[in-house]
Amino acid sequence: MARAGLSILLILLVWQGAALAVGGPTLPGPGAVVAALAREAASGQLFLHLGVTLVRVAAAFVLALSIGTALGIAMGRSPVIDGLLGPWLMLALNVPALVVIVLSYVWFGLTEAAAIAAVAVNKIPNVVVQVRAGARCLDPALSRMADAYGFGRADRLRHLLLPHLTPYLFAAARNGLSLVWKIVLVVELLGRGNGVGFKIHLAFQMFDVATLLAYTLSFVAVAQALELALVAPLERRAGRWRGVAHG
Amino acid sequence: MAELLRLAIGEKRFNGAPILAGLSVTVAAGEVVALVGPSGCGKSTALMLAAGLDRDFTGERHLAPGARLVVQFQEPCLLPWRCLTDNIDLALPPARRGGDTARRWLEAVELPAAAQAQFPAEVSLGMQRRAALARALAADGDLLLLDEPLVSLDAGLAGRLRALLLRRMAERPGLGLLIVTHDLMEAAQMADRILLLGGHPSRLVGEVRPDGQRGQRGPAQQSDILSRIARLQQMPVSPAPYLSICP
Repeated sequence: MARAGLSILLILLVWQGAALAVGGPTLPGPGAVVAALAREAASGQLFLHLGVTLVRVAAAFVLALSIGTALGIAMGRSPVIDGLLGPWLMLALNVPALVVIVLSYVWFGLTEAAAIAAVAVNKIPNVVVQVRAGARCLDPALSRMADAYGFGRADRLRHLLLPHLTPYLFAAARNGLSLVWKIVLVVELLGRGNGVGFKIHLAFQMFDVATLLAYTLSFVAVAQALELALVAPLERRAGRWRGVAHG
Repeated sequence: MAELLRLAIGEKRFNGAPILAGLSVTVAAGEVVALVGPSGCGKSTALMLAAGLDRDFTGERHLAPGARLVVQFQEPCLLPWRCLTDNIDLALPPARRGGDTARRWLEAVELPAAAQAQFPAEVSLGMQRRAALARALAADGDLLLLDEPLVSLDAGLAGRLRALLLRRMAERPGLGLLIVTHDLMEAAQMADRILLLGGHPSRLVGEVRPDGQRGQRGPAQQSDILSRIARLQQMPVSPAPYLSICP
């Protein structure tokens, strides 16, 4: 904790130093950014746009994680499905996010659904890759035990596959949150009338770097709060079984 | 007595190399059959073939219609993310779960209540093996296949668990038991028939039908059984797939 605090202090000092050296609105110091943050918060704009962006992030994240997990399990457990979908996965992994977003808007219109779908489609291949790797390395001895004791499909999923995949799902969720939020901003910048991406677009047009940084930092703070309040405790809970063996 | 299982292995290969060549095993209702042989001779492989979990061999396997078969593996094969009680509960048919079956069997193998709520990694390997034995007993099959169930347990406990197994045989008429062991004394005490594996690749070297009631044999009878096994081990391996030595 102390080290993290020292590190943050160092960042602020370097930032302030750089701002003083450069001068002007191109690189505002921490004080100017806090002032912009306070102004946006007081007007209610900050919470409106942050909230809209968070809803989009949550929707795209849930969509991508559930579809990606289902596909990843299917590909990891079945060589036939893996063979069939493998080339599609390579294609999907390497199509630029911008192309998917533009195509989605062109084909389906400038709608909320098109925006969220575009973000999810960008994230799904990453989830598939991680979950597939996890599903492939399921302990064959446990799998055989499940055969021997006649586990049904539901039991196998709930008591064997999903607990085994938990660390992979947490990795996918962490990567997912950071990637999805970045892509949501692009989607908002290109075709939405609200959200952090829209505000950044406005700030860019006015060269208002202080507002731009204020929105960026506030989302980073939200992401960090989610990690500390939700993801890390859930992960600790899910990993309780990794006790220390004693003889 | 009705035959529960008939397995005739012509040849079983592992990575292209034959490891079993010529072994037939039958288990009748109410019978205890021990499969013994030096370590690495393919006893566990034969048990997996008997269980029907590995069907990649030449030969035949026949399980009595309607007979339920339960396996205890050489490794505990417990779900690491479920406590011992849940591990046993999950091996039961869904209709029988949630009752006190798991607790009763864990107590029968001398695992106290405190251990029952622990994850496998929190207890010793010996306790994990006992939980696996409890699982096999709780699953209540018509044919029990046990792979070195009492290895790594202290002599006193192993003796009590042998008595538990034989008591179970008496309580549940028609139950058949096929036990893989490298412990000749164990086989001499418990089995109605002892099948001896040997040679490279392994084949059936001979069969011993001990005198006296299982579980009640005196030192003289046991040493007679051991000397008969020793004589068989010294004989040149016969090319005949089945050689029965009966008194």
